[in-house]
Amino acid sequence: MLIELRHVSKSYSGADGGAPVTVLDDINLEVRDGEMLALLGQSGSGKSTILRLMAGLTEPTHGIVLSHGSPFNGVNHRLAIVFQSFALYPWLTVQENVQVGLIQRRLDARQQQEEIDRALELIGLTGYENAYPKQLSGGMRQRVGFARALVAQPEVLCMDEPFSALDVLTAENLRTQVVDLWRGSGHAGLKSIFLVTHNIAEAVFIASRIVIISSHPGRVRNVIVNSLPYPRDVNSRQFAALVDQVHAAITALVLPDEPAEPIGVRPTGAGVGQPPATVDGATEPVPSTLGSRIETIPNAPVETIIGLLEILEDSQETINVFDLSARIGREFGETIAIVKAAEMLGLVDTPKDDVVMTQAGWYFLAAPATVRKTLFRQSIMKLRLFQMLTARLQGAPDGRIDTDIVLEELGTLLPYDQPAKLFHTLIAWGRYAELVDFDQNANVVYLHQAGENDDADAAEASP
Amino acid sequence: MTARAYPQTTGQQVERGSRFGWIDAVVILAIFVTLWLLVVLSGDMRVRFDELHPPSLSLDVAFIPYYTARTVLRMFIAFAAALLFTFTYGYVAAKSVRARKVMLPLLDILQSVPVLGFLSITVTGFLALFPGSLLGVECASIFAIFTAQAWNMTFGFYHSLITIPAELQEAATVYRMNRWQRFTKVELPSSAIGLMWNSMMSFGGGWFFVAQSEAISVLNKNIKLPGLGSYMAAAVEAGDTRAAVYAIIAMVVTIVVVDQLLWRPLVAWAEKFKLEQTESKDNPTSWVLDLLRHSYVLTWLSNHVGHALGNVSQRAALLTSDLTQTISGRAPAPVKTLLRLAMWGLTTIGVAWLVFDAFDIATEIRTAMTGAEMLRVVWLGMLTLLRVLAMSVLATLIWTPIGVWIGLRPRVARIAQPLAQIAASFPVNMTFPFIVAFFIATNIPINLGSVLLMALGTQWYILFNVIAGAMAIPTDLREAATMFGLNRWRLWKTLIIPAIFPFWVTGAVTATGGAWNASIVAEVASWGNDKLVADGLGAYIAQVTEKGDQPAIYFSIVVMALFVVVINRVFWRRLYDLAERKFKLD
Repeated sequence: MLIELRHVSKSYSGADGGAPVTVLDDINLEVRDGEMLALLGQSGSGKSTILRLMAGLTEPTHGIVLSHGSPFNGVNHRLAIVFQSFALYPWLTVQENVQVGLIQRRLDARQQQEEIDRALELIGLTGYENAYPKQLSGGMRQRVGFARALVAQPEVLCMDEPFSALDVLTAENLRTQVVDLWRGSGHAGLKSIFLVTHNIAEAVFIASRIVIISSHPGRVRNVIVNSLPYPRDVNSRQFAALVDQVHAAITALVLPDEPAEPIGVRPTGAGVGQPPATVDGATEPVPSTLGSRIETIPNAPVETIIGLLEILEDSQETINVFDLSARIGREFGETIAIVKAAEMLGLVDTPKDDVVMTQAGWYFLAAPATVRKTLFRQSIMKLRLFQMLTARLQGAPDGRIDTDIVLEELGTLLPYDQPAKLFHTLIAWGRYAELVDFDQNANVVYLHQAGENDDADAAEASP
Repeated sequence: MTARAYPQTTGQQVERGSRFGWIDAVVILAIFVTLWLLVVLSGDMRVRFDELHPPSLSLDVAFIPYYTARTVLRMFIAFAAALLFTFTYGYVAAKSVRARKVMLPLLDILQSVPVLGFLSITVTGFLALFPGSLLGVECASIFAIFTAQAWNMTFGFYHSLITIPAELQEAATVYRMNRWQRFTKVELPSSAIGLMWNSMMSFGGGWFFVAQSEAISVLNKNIKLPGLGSYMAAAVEAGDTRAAVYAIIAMVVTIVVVDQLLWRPLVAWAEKFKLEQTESKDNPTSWVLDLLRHSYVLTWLSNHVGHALGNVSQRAALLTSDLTQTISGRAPAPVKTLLRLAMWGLTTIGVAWLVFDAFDIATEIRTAMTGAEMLRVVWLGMLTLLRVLAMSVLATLIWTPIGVWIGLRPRVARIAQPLAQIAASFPVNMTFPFIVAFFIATNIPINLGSVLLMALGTQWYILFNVIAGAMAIPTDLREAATMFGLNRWRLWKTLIIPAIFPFWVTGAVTATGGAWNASIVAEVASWGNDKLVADGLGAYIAQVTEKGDQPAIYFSIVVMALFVVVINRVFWRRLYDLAERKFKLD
């Protein structure tokens, strides 16, 4: 066991002294000798934080990080990192940049030159020793990043979304090279590779073990062993089957078929879905905050939700979430956020990993703009978060609340979310629905003032 | 990917000098002349000095080159000291969050104290340090110039250090650079561009105080160090127009030469440290740098000196590794506690000493000055404040339209901006005597005239910042405005004023800060036997400094510093926040 995270949690204190945000919760993870481990998750799930915890760039709030079974101080020197944005120094040549990796090895000038030459040959950049990063393409810059990491002769080569800043062709090329590197006699001392990515196909192509983590907070959910033989064929049936398996695991995680929060029902000890317990024949309203979990609102702008409905309208058959993601050209995390948002509003259904438009969704799409707003308003008023917000606003003097108070409360209610981002989405939806508004200059949130149009819209809206 | 993309020649990789050319003769000559000058001039700095018989200054025009050389040497020594200060102070403030909370406000206060204030406080100290030699006076003068240059550079350096991209720092940590390596390979290069620009501006700021620093008329002493500034002061006292004009010409020539031979090449060279990864079209160029790149001697020198420095740096790196700390940049525990104790100890001693000193000064002031007099000083401060306000309003009204006009035309801007920067460096107080003569002739009261004098020195900051702001307006916003047929007034209201607002704020802050400093030379102006004294804090400070009235000096300087600091916090800080929040174009 080369690196191990044991019961690791990581929290950051909130911006402007707000409530602390927990990014990682009780992570148990290990990098074994002789494996390629991929960490798969959405952006913001804390995967980069896990990498930095392994490297010793940051410390866990709880739990412990072990290297070869024992804790270490400072930076883990058995590791080297390849960064997402290459992290090359613009004022150093390729040669000098790679030389940075040799700092900890204390070689003399001749040996250093040999090492650098060997690394550059391995990654295919001989002849470029005196070039500056500005003069290289993205793929070449990342190769320099690899060379730098390799000359440091790490045990574990860590890569933080190394191909996400590259175009598709260069990325494919480099991926194959990385696999060949690890498999071949390659570089001395390299035992394992740790890859952080949000690209499912990439994880299946490269890794021998795939760990899936959820987000908000980051938790280890699934571990899938990938025993496909190298070299892997992207077009083979087994590859596709494994990709499907990963898909299914992720969708079960992010778009559960059972809603986390039963809409419109007050939970009691009797169980979810049951009518509230009656006392002497009369229904007793139970305080709604007891034991209920408020679901967060995904970060999806309104026009993307509408765009999703329009795509569904155009296509003849049901669409799979991942095909959708490829089609709209967005990272699957973003796509899932949009789909989830649409689902929360009752506009789509997500049986397994398909997306299907609901009756309400068809109606919404057919309606004129003003009616859409009313429908939207009705939908979001079914969400606990908006109910609480409007209740607070109605209770406040003048129907206005200071933004900082709202942020603080959001931080308390949803401790795993970034209050600022959540607020942003809340206001965006609220403005579309003409329900709440936000005054940037005075820094207050307030109820949208009712106008004469609202009654007409309400009349038109009823089907 | 195209076959073997050859590195483009961008000026970075222009063919290096491989043969001896005429430029090499020039370079060798220049090196020898500089060395000879350094030896001769520094020898002259240690001449015997008797306070009762201060060295006399000749008004002979033939002496001007020598005096100019002395002045330039002083400026560069002060600049070297300022650079050292910048590196240490800025580095500590950037690395330690706790220290930052004290160091930054302290720097703010130091920035608000007028240069003359520093001079009056330290001159006796320096004189005592080197009794009997002119070196003491030189040190005082150099220190005064240092205070005119250092603060801005420190702020700039601090800012560049804390805005280094996180991944560059992380790579340095992962690949185990120690502090020295990190400083030389990551932090210093990242801040190079900002540092060059700041140095250029700050060095220029020093010219303004050259006259004050060299013709030391503080505390009843009247010492004129050999230099261009005191030459000018002597010319003014004697009413010698011819000498004054020659002095001004010499000053202009010096500024242009230093700008072209030193600053422009440095700024152009620093382009290689740009953090953005794409080549932009508007790189600063320098004809001198291009010439120098063809020099065989310099290429040879830079390679060998570069190698030697590299080796020294490596040795230093290994040494510091072994001596002080672990690779993560965190010192081992006992060293850390020791350092912390030492720091706390020093700080408490320092604070205690300052507090006692402050008490002493306060009692001194209380006994020496009456309440009425103190109020009068504050009242004078108000008057100067009015002048500063008037100056900023007028300068804004006049120069903003011009600046926008220039900024919207890139070709004009390319010529005009460096000119405006040079104008900002030129010590306008050298021309004051002529203007004062003009005032006397036309009976313009100095109370109003001093506004003009203050403006002449500082309005350029507003001008070239507005130019920069207009240049930064994105083309698509301008095109949209044209498409929608916005008339002149609407265009200004909706686009131009909001877009240049953040830049204007920067320019106005510098201009008003400079105006306070300038008030000391603007509110007391003399030509020959005529002396015009305005009612204001600057005039008061100048007068009491000359007389040597210590309590009054302390009090008035504190009052001026307070005015500047309070206005900064209450007014400028708010405007900065507003500019950040509402008017930032990104």
